[in-house]
Amino acid sequence: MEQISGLINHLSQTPLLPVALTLIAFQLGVELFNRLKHPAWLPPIVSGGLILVLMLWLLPLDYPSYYEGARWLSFLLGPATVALAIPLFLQFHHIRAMFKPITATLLIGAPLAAGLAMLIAWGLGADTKILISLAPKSVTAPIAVSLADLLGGIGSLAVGIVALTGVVGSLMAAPICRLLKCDDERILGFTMGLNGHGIATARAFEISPTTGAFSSLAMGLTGAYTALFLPLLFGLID
Amino acid sequence: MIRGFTLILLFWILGESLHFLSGIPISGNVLGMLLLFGWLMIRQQVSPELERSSQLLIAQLSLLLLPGGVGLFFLGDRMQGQWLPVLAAIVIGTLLSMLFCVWLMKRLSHKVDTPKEAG
Repeated sequence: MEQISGLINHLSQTPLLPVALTLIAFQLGVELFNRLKHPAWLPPIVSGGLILVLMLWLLPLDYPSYYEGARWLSFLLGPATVALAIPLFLQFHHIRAMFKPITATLLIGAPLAAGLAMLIAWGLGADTKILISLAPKSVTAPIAVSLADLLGGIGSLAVGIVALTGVVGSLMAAPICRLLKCDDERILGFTMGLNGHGIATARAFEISPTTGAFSSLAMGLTGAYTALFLPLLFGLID
Repeated sequence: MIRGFTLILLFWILGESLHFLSGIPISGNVLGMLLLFGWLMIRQQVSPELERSSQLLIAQLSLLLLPGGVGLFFLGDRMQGQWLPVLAAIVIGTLLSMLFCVWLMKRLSHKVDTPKEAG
């Protein structure tokens, strides 16, 4: 046993073991996702995350040591965030198709998504750090982490909240459209992307290319817009 | 690939520098994204190199988020009594804001469509 924990310790001195564990867990998550025929309630980020947690619990490897090595992967979130400019640019022309509904829904809907979550959690007694981590819940995760860190929230909690919001948004979008008797795929897509970012956008592309395109547009616009207004808003409150 | 990735890193450095020098309360990577978007809007085209690099990075977002994301399970006492408000905020908050989005978009797009149909 002592030898095993010595070996784990040795392999964690470099990013080798942490990076390998992350890749293995993620691929198992993808495999599970495919086997279960793409369930909206279990995207690979959730299943892969749970598998990784299990691995870390079973191995004599604590989270800070793991993260020290796995940072090598997290670093790439920086360029991945910058790269979000490209799909936003490529989908931007869709804005012309329904300029007024899109701009109005973005301008009111994105702050509403943040505000409602904070209000509900505040009413139920959540503390400030938790409220800050909830604010970017509908924003694509790399931007949400940046926002949570910048504003004094908890980055990892923000990732979890964002992932769960994406799952909930993916599941509720179509029933809500049916309830409100809306059969416009562009509205379904835009609502999915605004509220459920990348996870809902992946689901939207499975519904139809139009739904996916409007979801992708909404995700990019909501991310950029929230990244602008949230820090300014928090600056005003302070 | 490498050219596209280098360009993305350069825009990140640009965003990081802007954040550091001006004190704008937006993180460097997000500023980098906004600057790159502005640059693409001016040029009105994306090079295939840049598009491929961005696809590669974005396709792996879930994987890149795992190391930080699983930290959620190691927050310990920090989350005591906080799970209920968080879950309620996610489920009820998302439900309400989605209802609002569909309702508003439907209402506004009807208003736009109607005169066209009448005309």
